[in-house]
Amino acid sequence: MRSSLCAVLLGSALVVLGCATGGARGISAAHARLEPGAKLLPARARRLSNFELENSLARVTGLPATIARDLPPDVRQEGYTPNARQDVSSAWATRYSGLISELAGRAAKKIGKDAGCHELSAPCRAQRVAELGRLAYRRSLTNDEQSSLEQLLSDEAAGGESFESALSLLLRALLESPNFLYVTELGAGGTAGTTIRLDDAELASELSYLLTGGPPDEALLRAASSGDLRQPEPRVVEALRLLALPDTRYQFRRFVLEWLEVDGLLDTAKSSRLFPTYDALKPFMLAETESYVDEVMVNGGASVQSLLAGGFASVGPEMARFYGLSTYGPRASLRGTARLGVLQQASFLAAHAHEDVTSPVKRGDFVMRKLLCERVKRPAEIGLEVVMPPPSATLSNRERLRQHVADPGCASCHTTLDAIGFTFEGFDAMGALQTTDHQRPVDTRASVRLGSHATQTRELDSSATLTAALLENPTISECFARHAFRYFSAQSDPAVEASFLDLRAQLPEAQRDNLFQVLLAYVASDLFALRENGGD
Amino acid sequence: MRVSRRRFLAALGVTGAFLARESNGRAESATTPNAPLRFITVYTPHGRAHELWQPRPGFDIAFEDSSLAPFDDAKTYGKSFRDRLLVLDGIDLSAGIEVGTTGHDGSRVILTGSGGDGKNASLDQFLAIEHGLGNDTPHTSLTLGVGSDSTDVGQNISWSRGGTPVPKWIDPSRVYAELFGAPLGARKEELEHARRAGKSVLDRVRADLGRLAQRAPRSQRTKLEQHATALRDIEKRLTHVEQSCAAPPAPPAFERLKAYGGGEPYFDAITDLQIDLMARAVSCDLTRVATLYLADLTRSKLLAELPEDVHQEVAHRYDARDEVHGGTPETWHKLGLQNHYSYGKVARLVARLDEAGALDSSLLLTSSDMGDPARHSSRQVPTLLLAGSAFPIKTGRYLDLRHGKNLQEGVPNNRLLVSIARLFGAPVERFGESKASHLLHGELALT
Repeated sequence: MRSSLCAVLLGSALVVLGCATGGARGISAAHARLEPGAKLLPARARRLSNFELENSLARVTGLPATIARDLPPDVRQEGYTPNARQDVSSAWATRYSGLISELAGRAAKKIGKDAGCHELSAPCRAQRVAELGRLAYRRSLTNDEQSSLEQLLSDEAAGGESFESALSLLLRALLESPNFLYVTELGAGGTAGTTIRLDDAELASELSYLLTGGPPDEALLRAASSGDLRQPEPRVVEALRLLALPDTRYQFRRFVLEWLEVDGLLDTAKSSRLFPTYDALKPFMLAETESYVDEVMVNGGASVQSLLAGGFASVGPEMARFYGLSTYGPRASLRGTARLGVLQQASFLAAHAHEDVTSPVKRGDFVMRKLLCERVKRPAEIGLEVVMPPPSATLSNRERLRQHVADPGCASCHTTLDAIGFTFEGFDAMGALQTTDHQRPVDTRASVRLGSHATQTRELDSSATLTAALLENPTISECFARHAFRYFSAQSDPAVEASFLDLRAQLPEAQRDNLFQVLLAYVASDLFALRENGGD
Repeated sequence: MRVSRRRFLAALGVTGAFLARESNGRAESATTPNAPLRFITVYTPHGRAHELWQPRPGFDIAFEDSSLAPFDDAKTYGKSFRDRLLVLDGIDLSAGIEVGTTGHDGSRVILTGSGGDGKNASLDQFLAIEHGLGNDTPHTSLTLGVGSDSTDVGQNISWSRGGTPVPKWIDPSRVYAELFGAPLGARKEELEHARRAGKSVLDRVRADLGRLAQRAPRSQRTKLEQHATALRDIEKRLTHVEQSCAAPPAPPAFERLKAYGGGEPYFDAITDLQIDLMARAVSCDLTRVATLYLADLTRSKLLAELPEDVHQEVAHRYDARDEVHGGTPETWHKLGLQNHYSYGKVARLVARLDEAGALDSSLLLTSSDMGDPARHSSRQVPTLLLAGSAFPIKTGRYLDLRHGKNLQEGVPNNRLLVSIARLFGAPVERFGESKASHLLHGELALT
């Protein structure tokens, strides 16, 4: 995908902000005001996720830094990798240090060949420390930091070490520093309970990690240095510029994949007896969803509605064959098929299934949690012990699950969960079409109340009609925005989410479904720039 | 496989390591009359088949099909450890049950005594850090796993204060490098330079962390303290550059390590290596606190007698006997085989510790996330203590905490955690977090 996310905005009401011109006309369209007393995010130091870390290391070293696979995986919040609670454990620090030591050595060699100072004279030391320090800490170094790191180089020089060796040590000191590892949102500090304003450098980092998952570039650092980012309009202008960068798509792709709970697809397995092609196909399944998300974000309105019902597949020949499509490409038509969007993609269907059989419960549970924002109680919370319905060689999956609604305790949740899930029974455990299950015709009909506030029961006959019903439900757009905020703010707090959703509600109705519009409103607001000191 | 000098030096530069002397000989015993106490926990998957797990009268654990038989199998493990064993029946993961952290998520509760939203450290981390059991060893604690390095709830038993999981090392090569990483031929001056450079970096990182902690509000302190603990751990390894214990042979590198990711053929070998490395680390006093998480390694074809999908076709099909229902013995047999396999690995660990003379000062806890896995029940989780002579525990017996009654509720595992903490000299009255505070107090009569 070569086109940028800005293309979306060029077609939107916010075009007047000028992706192309960089102007700031018409900014009032994005202004949404925080209500007095609205809950803010807390002042905090947030450790970078592994994805953010890789992007940040690449910026400093100029080398691709594929270290995430060698680090312990991110600790997630609500399933999302950006997580303000994530800490630096001994095991993580040990592994990270080893990786950084190796990376720093390679980076020092590369930098040693680049233009600039290549010796350990005092002016050269000062220059290298200032340059690399600014990249690593995403701000200018303090005098103490500058002199301490210059001393590090000086000591190496006195010990007869080479320029490369000294530079490697400098990089290690920078990249292991908490000034690199944490994005701070602390402003000038203050007493508990007070409101603080992010400082210029923090505003730049916050904006950059929000929209790109990476550190601020030179232009953003300059904007921060000039104090421009204190005002909403220049922040939005910078946000639009960042959204136009080609790599920005990886951040939004990651969000949608984590929201859809398919990002771990490659670590799943299916019964090799029943689904012998799954291992070979799953990379293509994941690639389809990635491409589809890119397409929806760039050309499809960046909304949950587009994700659910794009009406096309972004597939290569492998997945086209799997789906029975006669064509392939970024927008292969799904007309005449049972598939509409992400809910009928093989990645989603396989990720929300067992190894050998479909899981109406998992599929229904996803719809309840991630599209309707309904909290489904765990069985133990209502005093129930889960007994798996016994396997059967003759009953269909749907027939096996009848026990759920026969038991009044189970029925309180499973009546809805299972019914939603039954509409997906036309797809097997790896997402292929199925018309029979254990030699019995599959039954995809269901009567469903979509959400606890629903007044009507909907009669559905497939996941396509479920999707159509969801599209009519205004809850899904707000729910999607709530989940987006959990990802992009790196924490889950219903009170702060309420502040965010209030901003969204102030947008013109036509803009509320567009994820970029909503995030731009956030960027322009005090919810972005202010923090509550001492909160958690 | 040997760790390359370059790789080792890279690691030492920041992490430190030991100048371990490779030897084919037995590890030097770390046991003395006043040997430091050690605490080890092993998580085993799939609950248990109670019918084959419960000892027969006379504390018979060697009857046919007994899943505890490895602890009384001198032929395989060198000696019987029956007299070291205390079988605890009737432990519930109660704090998890209160908030729905049960079933496959239940491992969250085993050492924390808290549900998924708990903020307290697990017992191993509490003893290692807050109680100081790990202060004097290069590794404050050791957290190993097999098959999964996931940080999801239900995939970890070790949790930091603040409520985040402690990452697991699942690659024996990595464990070896961290514990015994010195390659043959590393020159003293190279090692000294690497150590000095690492110290120089560490000093600056620590100063930066101190400045950040001063600026950060109280809500961030636990997280930053965790970071400071990690730096202390690194520093310990930088300053302890000599140790007398022999390094074991370096393990081979495995092509794949993760369940569902192609690691299945290797899990049996990986488990043995992790156990052997853990036993050596403990007996060499590289650490005094360790945990091992044996993930749900279904599809590993570990036992020819079991179907490939142990999770679905063994654990979920277990049909227990109860007061009104006779159950299905065939399902007990299958789950019992799986249990026997897991306990065989625990017995291997016990044997290794015993061989190294470290068993007397060790307390091993083994538990699972479920009792009846078909019910996904976090009640009556199979709980074993294997205690060295340093611990005043009456072993060689079966303790039915429900007193033989088929009570709906058993004893909260919090009481076991309190009891263990006290055995290590931590004067705690309660352990874990729950709104039902009565769950948290009290201890078990283990003596």
